[in-house]
Amino acid sequence: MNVQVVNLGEVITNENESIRGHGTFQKDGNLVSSVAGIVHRVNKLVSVKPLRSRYHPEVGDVVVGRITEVLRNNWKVDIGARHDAFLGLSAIILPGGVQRRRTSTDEMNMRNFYKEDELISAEIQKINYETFKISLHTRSFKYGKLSDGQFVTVPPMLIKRSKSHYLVLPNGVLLILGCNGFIWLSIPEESELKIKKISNWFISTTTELQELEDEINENSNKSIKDKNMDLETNNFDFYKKKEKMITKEQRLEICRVRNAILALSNSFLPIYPTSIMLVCKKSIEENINPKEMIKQKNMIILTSEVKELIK
Amino acid sequence: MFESNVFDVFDFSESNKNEKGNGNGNENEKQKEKKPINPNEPLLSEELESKVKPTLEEDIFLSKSLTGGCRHEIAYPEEWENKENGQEMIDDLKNLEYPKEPATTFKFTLDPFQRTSVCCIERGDSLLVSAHTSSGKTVVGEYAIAKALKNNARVIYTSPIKALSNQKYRDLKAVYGDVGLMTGDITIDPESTCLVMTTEILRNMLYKGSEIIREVQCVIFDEIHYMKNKSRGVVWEETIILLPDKVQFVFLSATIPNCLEFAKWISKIHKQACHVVFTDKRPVPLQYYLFPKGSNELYLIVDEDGNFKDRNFQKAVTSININPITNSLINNNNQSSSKNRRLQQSQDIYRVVKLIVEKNYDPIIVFAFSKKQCEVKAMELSQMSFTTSEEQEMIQFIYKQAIGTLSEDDQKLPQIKKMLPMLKSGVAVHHAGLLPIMKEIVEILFGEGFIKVLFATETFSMGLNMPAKTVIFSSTKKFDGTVFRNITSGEFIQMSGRAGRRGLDKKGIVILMLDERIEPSVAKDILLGKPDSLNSAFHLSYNMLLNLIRIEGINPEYLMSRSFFQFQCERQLPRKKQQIEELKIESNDIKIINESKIKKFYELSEKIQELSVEIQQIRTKPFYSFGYMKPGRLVRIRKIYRYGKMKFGKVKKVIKWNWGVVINIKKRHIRRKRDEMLLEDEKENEEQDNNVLEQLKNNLSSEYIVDVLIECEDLESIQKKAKNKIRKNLNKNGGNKDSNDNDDEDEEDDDNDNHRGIVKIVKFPLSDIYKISKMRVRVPENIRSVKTKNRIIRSISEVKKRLEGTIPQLDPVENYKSTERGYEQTLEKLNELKKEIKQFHLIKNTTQWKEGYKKFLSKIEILTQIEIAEKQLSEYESVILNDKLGSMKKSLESLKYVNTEGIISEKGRTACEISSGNELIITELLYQGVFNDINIYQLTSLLSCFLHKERSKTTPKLPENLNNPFRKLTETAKKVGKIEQKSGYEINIEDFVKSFHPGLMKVVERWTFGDSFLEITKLTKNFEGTIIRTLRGLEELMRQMSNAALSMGNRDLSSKINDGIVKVKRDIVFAASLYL
Repeated sequence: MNVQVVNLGEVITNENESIRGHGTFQKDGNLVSSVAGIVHRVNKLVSVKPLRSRYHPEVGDVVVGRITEVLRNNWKVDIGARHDAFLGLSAIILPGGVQRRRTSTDEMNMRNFYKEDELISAEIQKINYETFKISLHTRSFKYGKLSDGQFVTVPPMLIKRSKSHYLVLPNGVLLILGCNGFIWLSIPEESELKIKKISNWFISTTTELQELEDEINENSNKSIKDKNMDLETNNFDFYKKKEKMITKEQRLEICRVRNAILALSNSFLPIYPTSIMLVCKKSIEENINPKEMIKQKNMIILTSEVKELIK
Repeated sequence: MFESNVFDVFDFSESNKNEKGNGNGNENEKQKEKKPINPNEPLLSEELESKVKPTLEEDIFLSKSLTGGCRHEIAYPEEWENKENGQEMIDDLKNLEYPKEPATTFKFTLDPFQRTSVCCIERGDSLLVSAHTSSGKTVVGEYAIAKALKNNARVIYTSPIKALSNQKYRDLKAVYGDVGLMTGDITIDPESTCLVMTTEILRNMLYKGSEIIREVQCVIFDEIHYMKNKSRGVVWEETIILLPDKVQFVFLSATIPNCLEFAKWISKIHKQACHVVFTDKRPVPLQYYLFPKGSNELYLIVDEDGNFKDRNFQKAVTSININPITNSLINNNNQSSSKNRRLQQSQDIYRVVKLIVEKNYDPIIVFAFSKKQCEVKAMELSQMSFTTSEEQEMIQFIYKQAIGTLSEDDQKLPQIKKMLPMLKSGVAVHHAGLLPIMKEIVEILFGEGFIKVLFATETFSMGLNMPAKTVIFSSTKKFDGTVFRNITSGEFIQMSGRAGRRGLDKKGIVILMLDERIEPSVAKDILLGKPDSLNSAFHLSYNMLLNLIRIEGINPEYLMSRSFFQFQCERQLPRKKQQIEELKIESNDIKIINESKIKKFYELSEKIQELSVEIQQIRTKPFYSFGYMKPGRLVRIRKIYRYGKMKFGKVKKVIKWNWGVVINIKKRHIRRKRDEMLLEDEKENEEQDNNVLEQLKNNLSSEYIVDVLIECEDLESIQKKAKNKIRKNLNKNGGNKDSNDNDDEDEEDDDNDNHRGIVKIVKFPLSDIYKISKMRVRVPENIRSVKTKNRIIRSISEVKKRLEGTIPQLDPVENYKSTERGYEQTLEKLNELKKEIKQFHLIKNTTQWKEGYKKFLSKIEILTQIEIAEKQLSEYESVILNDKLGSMKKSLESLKYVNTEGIISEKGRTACEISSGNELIITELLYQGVFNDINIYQLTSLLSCFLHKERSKTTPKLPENLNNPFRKLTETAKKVGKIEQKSGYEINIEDFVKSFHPGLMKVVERWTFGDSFLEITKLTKNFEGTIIRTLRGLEELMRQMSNAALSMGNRDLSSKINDGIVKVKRDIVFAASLYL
């Protein structure tokens, strides 16, 4: 496949037929790029996806964001896009899933739900293309406040979109891959899942890779489903800050995943469960402990397999 | 007091007295009818206890109670049984108490079913109320709203149609104030606590995850039985499935027999209890009368208690004088007879209406099944005046007020102008072709009692609370898009439910006008039949798929596994299995002597039949036979109507004609305008013979049309012949399977049947010609006169005589120089088989054989049934629609709406924005830049093709500027259709392409230019209402397109479309509803 890379202000095409999409503009009958990036063509639509930019939100994306301000009936959330996003008071689920109109009392108590500087996960509900207002919602119980974990940022275009962005990796790490390049690492609520010792991984062929993907999906589904059931029936106080014990082992695994992500980001490689797991695996094989993983020379070793895979 | 002949059959006497006695005191009557009930009295508890005994499998998850004509049942999720406090929860469900402080009080005493319903709502449980249209279900809905408002909780009221939403909005706004409205056309106060909306809007909100959804506590679905609607029903299912579990559902439905099934479904998918309150008691009892065509009398056939009066029915039916329909075949030139019939019918209506009005049994609703009929009949009837001069003044006043909102130009519209005199005489029409404002005027006037006679189509029976005293059915048949058929009992119940106004009438009158003899059993089916079951019409659409794919964590399978369709299928399983078992036993029980031989014989004759068809096909292949279709050629025509194909036996009907003479052949082409109009006229005319319609359609769908001069039987002789045939077959005792199908001798018999019919020229598709002879007769140039026609036909028999009875056929090998492979082999095979079957000729006539054969045939029938049942069983067992889903996903993938991993692409996101038109085609056109290259006038007119649904297959000639974009549309449609087909999606590409009809392109273009509505109506034959609906839909679609363009990053197109919206949205088309 031919990849056309253009610079800012470069003429992409002079065919009259094409329609201009994102990242392009018309000048003297030519279609000119307004960003530096890769040209995408769908039928006659020509758009340029920038190589590096702020996050470009799409409806349905899972994002991780930080509350920056509590307003009258919504929260301002930084999701790394060109504009701030807003999470409405009526866009969250009330404790116990009660369905009702929000009252002024609710508005007074907004800080009981989310306070400034807290991290949340949410979904993009709607984008107003005229005003660029981005609305978020926490559609189900799996979204909401994030605590007891680690936060990593990477360039948003490295996040590969997949069916699920809520994942439980085989080493027991909960991974929320925000489409905006904000990533949250933690331990899932119910960690009864049988977690294989990381040393037991032997990934060599693609079929096993497939198995790994399946396993990740299955694990994620299980843990998230369980969580759902629990919260709905037990009137769980979802918004209370809960402290959970995270063992040293678990911390190390979180660290390993975090550094794997950074290693991938450093080499500008796509970030998705399989690539992360490949790096983790390599680190075990090469006997590199999590702390050492982000040394420049190690990063090159660690990501070699992923590079191979992508070719 | 009455004419004597009417008196004994038209039983008005008793009620009339009451009527007189009460005069204006209807209020008294209402109060007398109802026993005072102490509102604080604990309700039902005793009855409940006594009735709780789950016995059958059916009843495991429910408990029943029956009281005062109202049945109360509860469905709860299966899991509850195994839960810790499950039993307590189940027991608690029966605990119904009328609230001490009800959320709202009513001025009248509630019926038992209403009281029970209120108790259920007060508990906060979900509820399905199933009752007749006018029995007061609304009360239940209103209570639910009142309760939600009291708790400051959002409540959503959905209804199937916009007009209904408008009305409901007005009603609720008047009572509760804090009410908003959201339809595709208009949004008022979306922040209100109570929102009235159409189901589509709610569905879209669910897909978009709108904030309102998280605030809604209760959703009321009005007219939920609409869920069985083929095209739109699925919207209800999607909505119900996608709503959160904590929502309280209130369903209001017409009487449906399977309400419990529905409630169980709800309780299963939303893990909450669902009550069912069912009553089939009518608040006003109905009397059914028959009015036979051409008669002067009304015959009471079903009284208030539902007793069918056989004697009266016989009398009524026999009084229909059989007026033979002489035109059993098409003859476009000869319309006089259909005109006669029309005249006759309108006279009938005139008489009935007059009779009813004289007896003070107005207002009347007359249901006719076509828009045109409504108009014509109303026009004729409006010669009479049913109103007083005061009423006329009021009508004029209201009319003027309403019309005053329109611009002066629009006030001059013919539909508006011609309506006033009609309205003033107390007559009105109501159908989908009317301007919305006219519809509303009619509704308002009818509601005020100024309209005495209303001609309406079936749509009027939907939802609007507009009862009359009398309902007349102008026919028992309706055209359902493909054939004329008898109305179903469900339709009848829905429509007749308009008779009898609660609190005003002691009983309602339903009159069925009969224009042909029908069997008592058929009549009973219609009149006393069960209401239609609520069956799922679930199907998948691309928009649905894309929206589901877009949302994280939900996939299409999730929706499908929760659909009512799946639920119903699963419930069918045990029943089907049992049925198969029973059938198998039955088939094993049939013992036949010589079974293997008989089987052989059967198989042989089947095979022969198949081969003969094959040979005929080769013989008459247009490629070869075309050249022989010279004027004068003798041909035979056979028509086969197939109803389905099974492994064993086929269901079909064969019609054959005698030898005819070819007059002309032509390739199908677009007919001239005049013909087209005639065709449409035929369609409108519902009394038209079934056959004729069928033929017309077939004619149009085949490539070549042959004009054949042929002798046609009139209806009488057809009937006679059919009777003869039945007798003949009875005598024959099944030795031959079907005399018509395999044996040549029989055919020659038919040939010699010498009855004189009418000779005329009939059009047949070339494929219907089944024998082509070697002979030609001379055809004079001018064949108009009947004499010449007869002479030509006579010459046929002469030919026959000369050739000693057999007319030689063309031989493909000899005559066509056919290189068709296999023809000779087939012929040989056929002859062999014929020889083989000859050996049976001897034993064929023994009684033992005949009996055996009869038994064998019935066995085969059972085997066929088993086959069908097994097929269904395997369908039920698999996850429904899975194949379809797979193929749809595949086509989405090959069109690049999703990537190979099933993740939605940019293109897919664009398609998500579009829900009013075919999302795939529009998105394709967007990405091809078609909309960029054309101006806004072309754009709007092109979009009209996505909205305008027309039955007529003819396409108007388009000017070049419109034809170009339309051609691009058809090309794209073809392309998409092919991709879908490749992916395994069953689709008829031709039909698919034709579903985009350019009929209104010109009209929409002119409208966008700024022409007045009056001018554009002149451009088309379409009803004003249809145009308005298209234009309103257009505006909605354009709004979606503007968003879609923005999501593509195409600002120029978006602003172009926005400019277009301004151009389209004006004047009468977007005039606000009178209800708002």
